[in-house]
Amino acid sequence: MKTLKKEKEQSTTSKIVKITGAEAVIKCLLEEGVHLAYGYPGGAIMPVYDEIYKYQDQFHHVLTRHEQGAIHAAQGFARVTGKVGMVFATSGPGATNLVTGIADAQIDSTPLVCITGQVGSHLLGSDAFQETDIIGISTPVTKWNYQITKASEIPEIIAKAFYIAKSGRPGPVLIDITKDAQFGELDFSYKKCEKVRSYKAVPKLNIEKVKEAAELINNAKKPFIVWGQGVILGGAEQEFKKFIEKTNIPSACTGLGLSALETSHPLHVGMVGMHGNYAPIVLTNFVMY
Amino acid sequence: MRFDDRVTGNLATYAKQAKVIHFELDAAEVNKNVKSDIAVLADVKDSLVEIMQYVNKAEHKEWMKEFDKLYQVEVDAVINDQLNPTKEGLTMGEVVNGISKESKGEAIMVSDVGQHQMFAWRYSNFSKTRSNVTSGGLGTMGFALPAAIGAKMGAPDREVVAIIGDGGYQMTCNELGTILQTKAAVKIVVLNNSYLGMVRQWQELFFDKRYASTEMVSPNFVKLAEAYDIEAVRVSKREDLAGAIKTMMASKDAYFLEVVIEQEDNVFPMIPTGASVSDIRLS
Amino acid sequence: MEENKNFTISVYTENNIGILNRLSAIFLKRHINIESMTVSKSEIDHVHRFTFVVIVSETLIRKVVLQLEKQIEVIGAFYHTEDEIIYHETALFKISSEHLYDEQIQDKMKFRRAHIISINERWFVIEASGLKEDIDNMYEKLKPFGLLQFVRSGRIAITKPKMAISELLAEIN
Repeated sequence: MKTLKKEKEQSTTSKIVKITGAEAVIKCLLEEGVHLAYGYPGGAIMPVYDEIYKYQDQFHHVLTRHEQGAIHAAQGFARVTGKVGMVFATSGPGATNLVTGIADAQIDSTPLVCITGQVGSHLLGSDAFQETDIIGISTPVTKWNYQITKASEIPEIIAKAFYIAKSGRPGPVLIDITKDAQFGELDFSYKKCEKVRSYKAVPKLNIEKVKEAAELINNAKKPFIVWGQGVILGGAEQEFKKFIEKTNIPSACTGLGLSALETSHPLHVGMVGMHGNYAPIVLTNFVMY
Repeated sequence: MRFDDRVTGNLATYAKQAKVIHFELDAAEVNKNVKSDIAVLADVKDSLVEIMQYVNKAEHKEWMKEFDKLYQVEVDAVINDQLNPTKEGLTMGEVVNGISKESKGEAIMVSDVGQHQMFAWRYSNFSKTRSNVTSGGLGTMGFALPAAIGAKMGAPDREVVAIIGDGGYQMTCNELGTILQTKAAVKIVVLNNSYLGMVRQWQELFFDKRYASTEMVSPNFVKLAEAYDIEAVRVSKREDLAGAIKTMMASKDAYFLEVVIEQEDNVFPMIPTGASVSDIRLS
Repeated sequence: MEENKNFTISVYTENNIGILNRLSAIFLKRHINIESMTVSKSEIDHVHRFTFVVIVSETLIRKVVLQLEKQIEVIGAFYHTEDEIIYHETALFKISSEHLYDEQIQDKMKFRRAHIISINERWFVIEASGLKEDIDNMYEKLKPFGLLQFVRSGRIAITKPKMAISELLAEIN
């Protein structure tokens, strides 16, 4: 069987090319620096998978044994790299099988983009084969979701999806693409999303608050730090270590904060939580007599 | 830090004597659970860089001693029995500690959900960041095996060890097929106590040991792994543990290690649900 | 125990499909009933406005509004007490025409500044508007005559304090 190869193309950011929605999906991912995805194919997402096949020299897809395996694998990838995890699933049960992982990524602030296939837009709401309202189902557990019904929407929406997934407090984004949008054609060009007008990803630092905080810390007799995953998500491990070493504040972490600071560090006094370490938990309510 | 309910226990008795400075990115988390005196709303990296200019060099030697004293209490009451057990059954703490030591604290530890997860968090010695991959807020059983596959692909030069209970393992062990197909060199460790351990512990402590649907009969995990071409070993005696861990960590391929654990071991310390953090129990 | 009060929440959003679902899910999650809801264009082009009325404590409303504002397509969310708003609600009452000449009905209508907006031999429709209590009152007074149909609008409210939406948009863009 002859393997279809796509020559490695130059960035198409400025060039405009007429392609299918399905091919646009893969090209968008490549523009975002995504070369690995986990997933499970099915009828409603076959056009995208056909493009995955054609782009296999540049894009690697891992077939798992269940969509839940795919999304947890994408989470594991995202947790160790800090990059956005990528997942594909088909419509109906494929999409609903992602829900546990999406909810998991939501509460643990893990950046993911999940692309699900959907029935043709003319069939929406008609109880078609393998049709579910995955947008409705995933709304409470996604940072953002969107249903694409026209091929022309693909580049802008996928760019927005990646921006939203990884900016500010990271989280899972689900994009549902109808089959006709995958087959449809568009004039493709890609531009990364740098902002969304209704979304303030990072609040502006208020220097006055920092000064107030510093004053409290400088006058504290029994200062104590509890740190969480934010130190890791913010890539602030070095800054955190410098801060605690200057101030010599005993510091404990939550379960997800573990490993931001090496366990052996003299100021790492353990973990808090239901099964955390005795000292930091008891001393949380320390009262001076 | 979002002041999760398992961190705070009963909010009415959480750090009431303290002044709280909340460094947070998400405005909706400030004053959601715990009232803060000062909220520094920004990217934590920027906040930390900025605050370094205003904080003084300090020492808190006497205060640190309080932590050391109470750590010793925990060592005597809980940690020693886990890491240097005298009873015959293997403890989860000693297994995790052994793996952590063998990897010099450099392995990425991927834990599933349950007692073993708590032991993995408590007894891993981490030396690098992004080394603890687990399901925290949702507590999804079955998370670890597929997550470990993703973690290995994300960090191919690092050792990835999945620590899983016999319950959670059976939720997603179909992903052994993904390992078979991709040859991801994940180390899978199943800590088998033949129970859904965490629920059993609660049934023991709060439901008079009525073990409703927590006794788990499992198949031959070694044969299952071998069916997927993964080298597999089962250990039930202490004298075999260190050697088995060493062999596993030295392997360049996927590896499965089942360790038979003391059946009714419990995780301590513990803050009972809804209790004050001050009500933390050591046994 | 903190008392529950009527709060009016104004949420400014993009005009996209599915936003109502996202916002109502925040109330659902917290087991809060939505007493009234209206959606329409706002004073800013391409920006929609949702108005919700809920009965909760002030502590809770602060948290809910922040969680609403956190949603990607929400530009800004605000809450106001009854005295911080100027509001209006409308209701329509369909009643059998046999009661058309009833003096009691005519008195009610004069007092409440209601008027008949549709009439034929079988039935007529009264429109009444005003504050929530006015509508509640009218309902109680007209019910004995037999309501063939009754419908009530959601609350629309203008706030006395400023809601700086244009400034919020300008900050990001």
